[in-house]
Amino acid sequence: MAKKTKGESKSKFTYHITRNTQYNMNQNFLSHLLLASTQTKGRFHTLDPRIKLCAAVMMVVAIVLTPHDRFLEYALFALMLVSLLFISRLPISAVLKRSLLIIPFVLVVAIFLPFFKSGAILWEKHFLIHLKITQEGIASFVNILIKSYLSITTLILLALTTPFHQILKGLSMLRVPRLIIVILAFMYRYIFLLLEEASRMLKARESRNFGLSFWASTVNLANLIGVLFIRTYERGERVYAAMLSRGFDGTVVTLEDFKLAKSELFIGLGFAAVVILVKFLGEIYG
Amino acid sequence: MDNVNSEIRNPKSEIEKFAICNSQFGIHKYAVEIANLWYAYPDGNKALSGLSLRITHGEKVALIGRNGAGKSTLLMHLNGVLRGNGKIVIDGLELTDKTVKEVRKKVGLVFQEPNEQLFCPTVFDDVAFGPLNLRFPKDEVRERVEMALKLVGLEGYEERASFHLSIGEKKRVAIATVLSYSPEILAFDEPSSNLDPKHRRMLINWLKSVDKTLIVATHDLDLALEVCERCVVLNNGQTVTDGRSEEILRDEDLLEKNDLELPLCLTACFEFSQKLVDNLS
Repeated sequence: MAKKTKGESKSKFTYHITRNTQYNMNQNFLSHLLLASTQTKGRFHTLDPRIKLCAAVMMVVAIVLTPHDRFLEYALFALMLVSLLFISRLPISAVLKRSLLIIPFVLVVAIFLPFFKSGAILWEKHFLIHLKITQEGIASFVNILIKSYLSITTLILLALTTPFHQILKGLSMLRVPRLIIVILAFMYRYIFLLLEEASRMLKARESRNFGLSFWASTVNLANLIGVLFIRTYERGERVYAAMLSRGFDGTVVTLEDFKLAKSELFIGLGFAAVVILVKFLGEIYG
Repeated sequence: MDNVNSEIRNPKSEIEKFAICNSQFGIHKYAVEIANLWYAYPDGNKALSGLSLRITHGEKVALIGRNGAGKSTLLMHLNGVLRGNGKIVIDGLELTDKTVKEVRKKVGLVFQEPNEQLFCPTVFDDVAFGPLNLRFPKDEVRERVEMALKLVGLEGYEERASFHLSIGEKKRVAIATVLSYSPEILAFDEPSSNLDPKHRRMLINWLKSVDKTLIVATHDLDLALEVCERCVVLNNGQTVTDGRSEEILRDEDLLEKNDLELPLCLTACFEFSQKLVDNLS
């Protein structure tokens, strides 16, 4: 094993990359999506999805509308989320792991804020261009980070306590346009198949891969993505044929059979009261 | 083409006599009547070239033929998903733009790939899709879903997500999605593919017990022999032979000419009888 040709080591490298990404993609993504529908324990699972949806939206709006200097309010919202997490009896590590997903996205969006926002200059340097970091910039960066983290945690709590089809039903009963719900439903239905198909294609490629160079295997991957797109497109056509053959005429008809219990309504109102209280406290002491 | 076809066919089978009798009372003679049907796919591939076929009520017909013979394309024409040139009459109703919705009520088409048939988040939604589109009242929809799932032996699966099911369960749910709006004609595309022997057996028994017009496109010739009394051999988008299953599926030359072979049960049977003859002589 001491002597290795260049091509061999490279192909090993790409092999590891593809295999690991493939593995991660399937494991993380599927488990993330599946957890909600497989988990039946926990306190919020039986709650009406409309209540949960409204509460989550209210919470997110309240968090987003918080002025950037009111850290007390942020702390109270975080406290609320933590208590909800404990009441819901979800596995805490699962929630925390998922909540970290948002960080890279926030960084991409907000990383330039400290450099471009005008305000009191903390650090600056002239080298080809004028670089500076401002206090206001850092404040708004931290602000965005906190807001998005709290919001995503709220939504994760919602997603992990509500099976996806119930969320869809809740949305449709809250008069969200049918088209959006149908798109979401199809996305959720076929994302598994798409992943399965992709991983099958990757496996088929690996099983016939006898030392492709890095470049060749990248080109190959691009082809594979193209083929996947065409397959998905054609599958769409066939699904549409299946819909047509069962009398689909462009309008989506569903059965809506949730009944809102009074106690559930009180839970929702109670939640709203707590959110308003937090806002109020922030206004006075913030 | 029509004349040729009726000549090839066993002209006065019991069922046809019954059908003629029915037609005198205003019941339409044929469940499916296809005359001179042509269809080419957008890529220029000619799938059907002048196909004619008549199927009477209550008949169980197997469509057999090599890959690409036009079996699936023909099935897709039965409820107007594909529209070729030619005349298609379903239960006395000619398929046109106006009647296509009526026709779809009459023909239940079960696709080969259950993942394409099952597109809703839960099993319930999928099975209820047909009845809801036909605007049945809500209580009836629930009853029908329950009935359909019971028929395929999947009671209590309503809230399951269809992508978590095994392939056998998916196939059965796919059948339930069609049964829920009780069409008069059932059309299956490869119903036994990907099924394990036990579920294949259950499917065959179920198909045998169904009292509807049944059209099965399949490579599973044992299933064709067991379920269907009539067999239509397709090749290059045309009917080659049309007749009783026992006769067609025993005709080794004909089958081989169409890239088919004797059903396994018959092969074994012939081998056994050959051995018997050898031993006796």
